[in-house]
Amino acid sequence: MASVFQDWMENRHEKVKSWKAENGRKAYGYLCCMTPEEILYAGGILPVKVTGSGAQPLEIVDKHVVHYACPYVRSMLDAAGRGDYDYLDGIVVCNSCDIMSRCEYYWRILSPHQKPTVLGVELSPYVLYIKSPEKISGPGVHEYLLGEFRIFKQHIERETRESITDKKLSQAIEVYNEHYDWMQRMHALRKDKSLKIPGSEAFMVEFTALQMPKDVHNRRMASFIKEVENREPLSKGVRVFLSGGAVDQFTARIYSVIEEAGGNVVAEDIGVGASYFGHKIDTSIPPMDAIVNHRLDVHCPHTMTSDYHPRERLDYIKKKLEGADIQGAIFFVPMYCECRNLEYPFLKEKFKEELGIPSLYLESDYGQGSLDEAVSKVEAFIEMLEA
Amino acid sequence: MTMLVAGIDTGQQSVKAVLLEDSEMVAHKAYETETDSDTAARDTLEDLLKEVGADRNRVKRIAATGLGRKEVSFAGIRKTQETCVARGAYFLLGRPCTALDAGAGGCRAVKIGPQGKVLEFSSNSKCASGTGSFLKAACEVLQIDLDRLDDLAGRAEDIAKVSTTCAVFAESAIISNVHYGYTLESICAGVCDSVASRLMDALNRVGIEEELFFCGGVAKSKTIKRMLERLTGRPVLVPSDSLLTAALGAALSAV
Repeated sequence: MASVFQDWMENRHEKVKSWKAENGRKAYGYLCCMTPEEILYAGGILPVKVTGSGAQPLEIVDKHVVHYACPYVRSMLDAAGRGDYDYLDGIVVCNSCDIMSRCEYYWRILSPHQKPTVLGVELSPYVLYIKSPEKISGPGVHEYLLGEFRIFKQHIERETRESITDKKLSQAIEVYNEHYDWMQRMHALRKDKSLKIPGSEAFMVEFTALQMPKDVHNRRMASFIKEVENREPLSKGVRVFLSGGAVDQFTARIYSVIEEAGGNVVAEDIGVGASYFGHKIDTSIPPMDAIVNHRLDVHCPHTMTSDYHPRERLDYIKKKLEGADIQGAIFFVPMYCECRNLEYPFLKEKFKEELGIPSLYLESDYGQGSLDEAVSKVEAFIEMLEA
Repeated sequence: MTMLVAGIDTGQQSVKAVLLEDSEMVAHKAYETETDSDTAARDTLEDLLKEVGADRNRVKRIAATGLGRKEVSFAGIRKTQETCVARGAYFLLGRPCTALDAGAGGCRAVKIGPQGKVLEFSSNSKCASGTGSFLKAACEVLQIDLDRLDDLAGRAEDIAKVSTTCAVFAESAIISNVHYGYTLESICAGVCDSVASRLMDALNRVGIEEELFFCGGVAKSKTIKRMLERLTGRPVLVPSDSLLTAALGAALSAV
């Protein structure tokens, strides 16, 4: 069963192209999990997570983005410049961090696309920008994001020439809630003392949910979870929490590095997919409000609440770790990532003080070199935890 | 006839091996690496066994550590440098400490708890600053050997700061200091100061709560030791043969 997910992970571009050709529908790329995928899905569009490529050297982006910018974002933009994502019909950018917010500009420059116009005005731009609030709680926040999502919905309606009704949104929410359900079931299995899913496989399942149509992924999950439940437990490994950004099909090797060293990732905070969504979308309120609430519950390193940052991040992570019985935390942080680097010293200290858990910091340059270099450090860390 | 255990540390520049009998060191050797790690480790062990008049059958277990540990095909145990430095340092000191291990290719600070357990560590990242390679590169620029560099640095009255943390750029920074008219002593002190500063970065990340134990090839430098003492405000303990700590720790892993 995992081979279906593996196929999507390894051939994601070709798979999306085939899906488009077979279904005669459009696909939009998005850069950040704050994107309201459900609106795209309700509009009949396949939302696809854009990632870097791992390709070196980055020849195109160097002319536009300084070296000391996030290497993951640089890689994504380089891929855009090379035309790797030309099959996409639109791109959704959110202001997840400073460099990400500038991707609205960079993408237009590096990967220009013509869209239909009326009297010289684009009906919907190729690159859509959602300005999500940094502060995710407090007065006016919900209304503000609702406004942003409404504008986004209008763009999608102009693109598809079809209205996205509340009924369509509710149907999309139903599919996404099923997805969140499956992910929660998988996370629960990962927390189990008799672990049956290696972290690398769980990541693959989660990552492909960002590429595959959610209904197709849901159907696969039903049989996958059943198969996992019947497995024999894995041999005992050190239980590790993985936190970090820019984990994708390329940097996913960090999971294998940890597993080969004798560890296993049983919980994470890595900025992809359902890892971020601890609950389902509320179906008892209007769908747009429900989607807004759901996204405002994402405590990513960029966001803040009425409580002091990064205390609220710690509390959020601690809640996710309940029952996971972790022995160590690995922070796999992209170079120049101010969001994650700012919170790391605090999280490291509090993990030790409040959870009694040691941490390992790994810097990622989103290249093979930093993954190779991680091997020895992870081995030393696992040895330390085993002793 | 008591059995022996061996610990082999295959570093970037040298192979170090230790033989233990009843947890007592009976022989040790350190050779410059001239071949691949596996061959170098095998030759070193064979020499060591010859020295004590034993054959391989007397060796119960062999543990490898260091950069080339995975290449040592005949080792039954492989442990990281951090684990082995901790075990070796604890064995030598007999109490918790913070160990600073600076070799040719890497440096690390390890906070060591009771029974030699690693509590925390910090290693350098893809960078030669703070390592023996940096010192060696500086020696090549200045056309002196390591002992002389250390000796001259120890006699300096001031420090010609190396204004970069990058080992590659440091070469031009050293040449610039020559052009600025600094004395050779000051320039050598600047090189040692640069290494000490980088080692302090690693130390600061783990914190020093107990004694500071300094090992690895760089620990042979008396000037860097003195600089670390000044920067940390505490005595720095260097073992009589600073190269052997990790190999000793590896051997202890094989007991």
